[in-house]
Amino acid sequence: MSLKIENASKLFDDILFENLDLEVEKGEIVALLGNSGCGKSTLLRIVCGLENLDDGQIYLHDKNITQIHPSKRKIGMIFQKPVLYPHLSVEKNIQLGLPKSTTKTDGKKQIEEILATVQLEGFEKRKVDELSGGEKQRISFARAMLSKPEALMMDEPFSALDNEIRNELCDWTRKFLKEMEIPVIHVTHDENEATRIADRVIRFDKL
Amino acid sequence: MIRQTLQALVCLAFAVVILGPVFLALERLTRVTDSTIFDAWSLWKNANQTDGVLSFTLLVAFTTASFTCMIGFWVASTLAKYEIKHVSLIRAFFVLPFVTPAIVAAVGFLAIIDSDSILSRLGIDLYTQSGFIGKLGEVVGAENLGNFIALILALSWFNISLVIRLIEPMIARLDKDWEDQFNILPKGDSALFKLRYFYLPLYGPGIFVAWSLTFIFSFTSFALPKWLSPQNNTIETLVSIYSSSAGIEGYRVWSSELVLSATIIQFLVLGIAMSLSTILQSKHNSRIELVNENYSRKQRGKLTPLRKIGLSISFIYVISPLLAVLSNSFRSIERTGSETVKTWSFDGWRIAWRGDLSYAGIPEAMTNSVTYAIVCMVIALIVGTTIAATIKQLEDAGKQILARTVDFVSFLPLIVSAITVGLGILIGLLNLFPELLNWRFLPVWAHIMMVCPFVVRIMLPSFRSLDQLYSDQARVLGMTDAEVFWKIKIPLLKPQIIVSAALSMAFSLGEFGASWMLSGIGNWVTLSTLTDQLMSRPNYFPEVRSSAMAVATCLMLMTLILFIISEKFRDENGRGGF
Repeated sequence: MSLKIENASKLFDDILFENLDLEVEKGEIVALLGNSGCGKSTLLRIVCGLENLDDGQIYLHDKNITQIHPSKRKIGMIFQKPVLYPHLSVEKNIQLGLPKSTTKTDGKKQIEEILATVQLEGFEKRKVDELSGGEKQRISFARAMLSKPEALMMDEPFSALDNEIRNELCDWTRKFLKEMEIPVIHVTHDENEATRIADRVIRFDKL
Repeated sequence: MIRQTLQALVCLAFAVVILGPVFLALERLTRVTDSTIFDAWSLWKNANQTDGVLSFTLLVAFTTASFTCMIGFWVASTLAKYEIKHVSLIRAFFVLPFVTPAIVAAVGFLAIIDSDSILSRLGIDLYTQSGFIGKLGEVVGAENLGNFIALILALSWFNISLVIRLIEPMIARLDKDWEDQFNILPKGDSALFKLRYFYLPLYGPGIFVAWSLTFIFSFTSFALPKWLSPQNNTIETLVSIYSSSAGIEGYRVWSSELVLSATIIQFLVLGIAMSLSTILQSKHNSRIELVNENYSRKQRGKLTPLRKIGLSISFIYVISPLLAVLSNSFRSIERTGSETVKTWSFDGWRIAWRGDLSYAGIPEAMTNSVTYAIVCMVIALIVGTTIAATIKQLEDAGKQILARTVDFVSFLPLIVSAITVGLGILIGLLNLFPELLNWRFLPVWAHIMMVCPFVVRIMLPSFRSLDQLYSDQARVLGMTDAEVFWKIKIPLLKPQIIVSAALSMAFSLGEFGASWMLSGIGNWVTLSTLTDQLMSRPNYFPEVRSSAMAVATCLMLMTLILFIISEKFRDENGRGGF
């Protein structure tokens, strides 16, 4: 039960990366370190299906997902900037992560529970623009988790936060992700953050 | 895949709907005249009626565009730079003319320059061109100078909002630190240096976009030249005069030759102006950087007395035609012997309501106008939004040439002008499908064609400014492309959709050129054509003018309500465009 990237290549004007291999085991958190523009965020977008590979394959639990639509891959993503929809309340934003078959009562209960898990009880009716950066990112986590992803990509989710909140969120996130037991790739350019959160730290240019 | 196919079909259908009638009209005109479109210039030169028409049209468009940009830029920079109480409300008044129907503007300016108006009493007779204006015309050797000035003032009034809309947000949000940094450079005290390296690069593209759009709208204006400059034809009024006999085989072939050549020449001139505008539009968009406008205002402080006076004069200029329409709707003429006296009464309203001096009264015309406006709004919104979304998707996919082509085609109705659109339907489509002659919704066809470009222009910047991450996040959360469109993009674009809907209705209500061409063949009188009908009646009837003004007032109030709705929903991101 793992996420496997095989012989992945991506070209823009020049080669972004070529013949890249990476395997992340179930419950493992891998941090990818690298400078800006080296292609680590692009790799995460490719794994999610938001961009296409020029060559190579992606497997999730031994199933080839390279050509599958992002909505069907069951891979969650936390973006650098928390993506919460300003026209929806906190509750409605989280609701987007619920499977379509979820009933209204069950959905409400799950949202309450996940908000408690991310330590934001009672935030259901809040508007998105009333939240701080850290709160927004927790809501993003809550929504991603509620969709029950089988793998999670995190694209520098703490880069916009100040040090104190970042450290606090890193510890909380690690604990939270360990309970999920899914393969996680965490992209960052901060070595401290990488070691604090991940089981394995890899330099992107060494892949 | 299904969605993309549908989108492509909508874009294709729009192109066919626009180009189809015009193509059919051109085909018929070339057949009747036994010539090709390449003979346009020689046909134009050989026609007796075209003397001075092209140069007059170009002069009007050029003068209007330059004059409008001059005063528009001044008003825009005043509104943008200084702390002014109720600035949003004042700005709303300045942008109101753009949604005001052209026929309302025409009758408003007619009332202002009327022989017993305040302006005439001050000795400025722009209507009969006597006194000072007549003498000035003789000195400078310009015939009908008074009418020309009135036309330029009216066209500038109509387009000033365009300049303000395009330029004011950019000036308002420009960080004053940028200017200050320039001032402390070694050559910072040189006005030429600042103009060359600061003002022109920053504001130049925006001003030129506004200039070229004003040029286009002035070049194709119909109602204003028709009423304010009856002695001199523009291409648009010339086509309208001779189009009734054009396209009929063996009958007054010269009129077909004239209409054919005029249409081609107009298309070429406007095509060049539009291409320049499109190229500069992209530069203009990329330069809007910026700080919070309140921060920028505070740095500059309050209005100087000179600016206060200038702004007050500009405000009177903007508001007076509308007040003239309203007040003249209550002015009736009483004749006692050879003398005429104006009195206050509701007679004009009563007569206009009952339709005593026209084929239809206000209720019937209003019903037609509202019905057409609603149908037009629904269709234009669907088509315009689809086209805007398609252009954005093509841009994202790196297909820039195709994106620009779709963008250009979406703007074509403005290049071929309202009269040509009406003409296309009249002699192109109806010759092929004569059964459409009695189709009640025929004018809506023309309205949709004229309104869609505006919907595209409003929606496209909104699609462009929509953060791609919103869609990406939704896809990752399991939404299909259709769900992303309906559940994420559409709600996020709700303000722009409401603005588009309100403006579509307002433009449809006020559409005059194409409606005028088509109303002659059916019984579908709208408020704008009813105003024109009443204004065209001889002044023998004392209530003719006031009843026309009453109809124009109804039209003005309806568009005003729609304008208020659109302004209410127009958010900060919606500024900088239509």
